[in-house]
Amino acid sequence: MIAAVRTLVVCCDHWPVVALGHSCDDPVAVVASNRVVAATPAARSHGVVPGLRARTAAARFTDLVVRERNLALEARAFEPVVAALDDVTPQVEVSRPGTCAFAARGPSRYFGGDRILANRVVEQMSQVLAGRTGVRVGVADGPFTAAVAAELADPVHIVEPDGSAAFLAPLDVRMLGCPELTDVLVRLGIGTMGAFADLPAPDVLGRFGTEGRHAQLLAAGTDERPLEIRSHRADWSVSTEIDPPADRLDRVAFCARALAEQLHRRLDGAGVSCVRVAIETESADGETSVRLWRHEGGLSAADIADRVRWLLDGRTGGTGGGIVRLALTADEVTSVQGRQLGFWGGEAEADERAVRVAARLCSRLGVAAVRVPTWCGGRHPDERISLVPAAEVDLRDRRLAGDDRPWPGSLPAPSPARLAPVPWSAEVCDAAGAPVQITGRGSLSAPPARLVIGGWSSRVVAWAGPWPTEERWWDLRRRRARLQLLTGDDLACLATLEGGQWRVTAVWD
Amino acid sequence: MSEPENTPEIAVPEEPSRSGREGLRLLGERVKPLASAHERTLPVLAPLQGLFAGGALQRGWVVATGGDGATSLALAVAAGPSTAGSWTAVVGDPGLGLVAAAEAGVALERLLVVSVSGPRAAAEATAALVGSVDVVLVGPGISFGATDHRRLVARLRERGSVLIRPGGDGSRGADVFLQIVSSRWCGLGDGWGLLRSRRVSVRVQGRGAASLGRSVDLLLPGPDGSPVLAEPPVVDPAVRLPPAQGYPDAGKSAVVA
Repeated sequence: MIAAVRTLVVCCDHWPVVALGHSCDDPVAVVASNRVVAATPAARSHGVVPGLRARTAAARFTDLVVRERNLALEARAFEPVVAALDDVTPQVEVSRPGTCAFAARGPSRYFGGDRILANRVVEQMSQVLAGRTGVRVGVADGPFTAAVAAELADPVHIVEPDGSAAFLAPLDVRMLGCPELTDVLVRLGIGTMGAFADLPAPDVLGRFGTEGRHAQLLAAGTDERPLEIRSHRADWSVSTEIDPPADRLDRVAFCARALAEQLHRRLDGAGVSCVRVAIETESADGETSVRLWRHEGGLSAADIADRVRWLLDGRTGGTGGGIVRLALTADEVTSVQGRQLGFWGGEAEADERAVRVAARLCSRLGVAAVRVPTWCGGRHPDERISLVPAAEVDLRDRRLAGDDRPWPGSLPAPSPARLAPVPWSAEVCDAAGAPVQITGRGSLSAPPARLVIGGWSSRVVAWAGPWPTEERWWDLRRRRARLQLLTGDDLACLATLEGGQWRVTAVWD
Repeated sequence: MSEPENTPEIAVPEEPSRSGREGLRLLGERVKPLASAHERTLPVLAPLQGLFAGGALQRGWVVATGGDGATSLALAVAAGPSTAGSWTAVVGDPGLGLVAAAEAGVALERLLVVSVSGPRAAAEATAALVGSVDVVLVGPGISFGATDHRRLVARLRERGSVLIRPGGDGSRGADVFLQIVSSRWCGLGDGWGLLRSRRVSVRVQGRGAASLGRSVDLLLPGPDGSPVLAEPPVVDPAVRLPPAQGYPDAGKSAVVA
């Protein structure tokens, strides 16, 4: 177990709103995926709270300003704020735009205590923010407890060393921030972190898995990191010299992308994924700056490249004669939780190739020409599967939910291997040569004896049915009756009577 | 996959007497392909293993099916690689029963359905798919020109995908042609029952090792839609011996005996 690191967490209030240039006094809500993610106090006083649908929020308060979330802008705007901490500590970790953290032990000793350090941080940040928003600081053992402390701070809250468990115990378990888990806990009557922490660990592991156990450790204030996290290793670092110095952002971003992919190949080889990356840049003036980015879900190559771009974009003082060196270090890694890939890159690579070829065919033949099947309900073989354009779905690691609803009246397996895209008009005749009809009660007028399709005709040697279906009586009433027919030359087909006309709709080829 | 630069200089052993066998072994090592043929295969469903030499599909093959049930057989062949994790593409076959495909074992989550306007577009789409997906099934309505076909086959050999042609004139230029020579449905009666399974006899024709003229009896489709190896017809004396009423001779001979 790794000893918890004394951590200081700084939160800027309502950062998604402030980054968009709004004042906290205005009634503003920021939405992402149609849900409110941040709202100013003015908006909250009218009942607009995070998690609300955008429309409901607008209905609660008609003068509400609703803005779409812009993560890149938030990160860019946050960069100068973080830079204000540079004379407090050299290594600041940006957890997400609006929140950053750093290891407090060294700075705290230097400045003479946690409280003095925290006050200093508040002072520095407030200067940069210039009244745009408030700052809250929490200091505790480990980033989670510190973040909780910051959330409750006004503006500084310090949890004494080894006091995490006592501090967390009376708090609402929902502050753990994983709704699926905490909703269950609340329904089980476990309302506080202390109550959750007191549960027997094997039971939590058995019921909620490793994620649940990790959350329990957080609630107990004992361990902050999954145990797989390994310490820093030199070979999880890649760097590149840029010559001549890159003064344009896109050039650095391009290098960053290639570098990130190189780093990822190395991490993949070791079976680990990066949860915190250190981005180090060196300018032509010799100025070096390091910025840490954390993402619990693991950072992809594109994510890292984005963060480099945000970092440089947010620099206010220019790039100091251009960037001459860029280094990426996987500062903290965790073992990959996903499934083991097969030989030759396995399924993931096969998926990638399929995605690429689908995109290529889409551009050549049109979006509607390349489709993938999905299950949808129905009684007829052609209704049970529908095809959707491949461009509209993510083909990687696709999972199809089968349709296991009963659909009474559908025919059991085996299903016909060939469907008639345009059903063939046919005649089903009885022994006397008269067309077979179906009575209102759903029985045949006479047993079928002969099947005629165009000029082709054959004797019926076996048959079953009719199975009448009446569908969509509320809308477009569709009455059909189906027969399975087997002809003398071994053609097994499905004949459907609809509107007085027999049609062969499917063939068991 | 052999390395052509290596093959001309053959290591002739210095002392043939000492190492005749050793020399042969060295020679064998030298001329061995980098990946031997059986490593470049795709799995097939267990009931179909008897159809292919080595019990697997060779990458780069063109497999054609024919006879009554050609479509079901093509789906059964495609199901093997698909269940094992390969992607499958269907080109120019709007009438293919995808429910039947799923029942046969084709993984629908790894299936691309490409519709094309004509044989030229079909050839182009197939060429693009070869190498990116392991199995390409081209509909019976599509017939490639000689040039397109040659080009496709060369690409198949290089990229290691398998092309499946159900029915139609696909048997032309195929490496393996699976012909259904007899088929009989069971389960459907005179006004009762349901189509349950079809007993087929599949004969293999093809080049090289595939040309041995094997024949396999299958239930295609089986009762749940997937292919099943058919048991040999049971000869039950209790059922067979008592003469049916319709045979006048049979009764007479019994009296004579």
